[in-house]
Amino acid sequence: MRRKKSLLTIAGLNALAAALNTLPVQAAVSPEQESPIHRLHEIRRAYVDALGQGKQEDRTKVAQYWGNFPNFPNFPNWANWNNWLNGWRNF
Amino acid sequence: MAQLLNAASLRGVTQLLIMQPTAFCNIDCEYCYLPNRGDRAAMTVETAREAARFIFDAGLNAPGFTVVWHAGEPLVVRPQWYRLALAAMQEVAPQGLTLPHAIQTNGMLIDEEWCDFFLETGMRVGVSLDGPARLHDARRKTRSGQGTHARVMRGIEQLQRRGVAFHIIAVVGRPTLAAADEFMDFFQSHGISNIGLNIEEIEGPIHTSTLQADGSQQGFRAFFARVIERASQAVPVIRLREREDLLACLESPGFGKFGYNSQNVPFGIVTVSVGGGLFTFSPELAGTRHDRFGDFSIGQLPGASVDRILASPTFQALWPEIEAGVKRCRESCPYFDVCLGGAPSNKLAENGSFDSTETMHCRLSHQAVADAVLADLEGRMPRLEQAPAAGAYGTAGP
Repeated sequence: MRRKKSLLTIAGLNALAAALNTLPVQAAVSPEQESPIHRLHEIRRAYVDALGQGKQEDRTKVAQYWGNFPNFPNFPNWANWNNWLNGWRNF
Repeated sequence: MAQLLNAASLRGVTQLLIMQPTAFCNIDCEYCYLPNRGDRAAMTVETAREAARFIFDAGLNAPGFTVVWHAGEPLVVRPQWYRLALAAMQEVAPQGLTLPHAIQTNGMLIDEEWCDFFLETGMRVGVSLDGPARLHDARRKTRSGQGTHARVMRGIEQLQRRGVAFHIIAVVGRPTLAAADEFMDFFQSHGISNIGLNIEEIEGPIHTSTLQADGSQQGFRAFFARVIERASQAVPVIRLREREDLLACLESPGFGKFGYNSQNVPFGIVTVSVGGGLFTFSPELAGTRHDRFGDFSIGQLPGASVDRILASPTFQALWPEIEAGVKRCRESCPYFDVCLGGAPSNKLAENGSFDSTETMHCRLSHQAVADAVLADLEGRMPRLEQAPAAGAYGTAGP
């Protein structure tokens, strides 16, 4: 009797697992995981590669041009950061 | 573990010196966070000299260091005063360094004399303009409640006629979100090609924003995606500060290694009030008050020194809390590498503490912007594989 009950339980678990498997895969992935920020490093690599191959605009010229417009106040001006943040990296 | 903070460790850290020539403003925008806008006192030339001396004596100036005149309407003070102030600041600058100056104005007072001054000094000009009259005049008003758009446009036409380069900063509120095409049509039709977008923020004495309404986040995302699209299609191309900034971030060899931004690193931005008060971190903190941090002033000109400021009670209260907030951002936010810890003034105003993380400002100005720019970039990549750069955001000069 005890063995029969145990087999039923296993069958029930198997049925549950089968039912779960029929759910759409997307249901297990948060929509937030599909946001571009979660592909930031891939996008950046592709972008930097494209720059290196001359397949993007000449960013040096753009940076020089844009450097004339240091907007207040939320413009971190990344172009200059390479020079001064050495001592301020993730301490 | 915190880096040893002393005057030597801060050399070369300051990117912007924000100078408040007067707190007075000739208009009365509904969303303005600046206090004392009716105070007509003006900065002395000696205070301007001492501000520059403070920066240069301590070697705080970073490469590209710029002085920005703002925080009140800076054109209320006349060009003659600026000639004296600029000369006084240049006198104490290191040999060989020509001090670059920028100014952010509401555009109401631009005239021939100002254009002469801008051309003579090379001062970089930013004008605050929220788009077409319908959107601009709804919030940017005179003290008697009249719209200011027509007069600002006269100033802009004058700049254009005289060949003075300028950029626009537009505040985006809820009504703008449904008007992306109208917004971009306006700028394009007026030959305006450099635009920065500031969201309508909760800051200082401003405790509400039209962007707090339900659906604003989705609305902003759709708005910004459309703005990027329109900017790239425009001829000549319209340059968006937010897009340029993110691309510069991606291109930086230091990407992924930075720990702070200019608003949350000590002395990244230094603000000097009309009376010579010294402030750092978010410039919006200057002039506001808080139970725990007083008026946020870290020192007083003349006579301030970096070492004394670092030991002062105000700085000792501000920095650990701001640093803790940045640390929490770094540990919890997928956007950290493109934002670097957020803006302290927004954290305090929205969350009640610097030691906090996400704000509405983050969600819109950083997260939504980053997602839109990255998605746009990602969409362009296959085409980039097939053809050299051309068209949108091509190499065409200004």
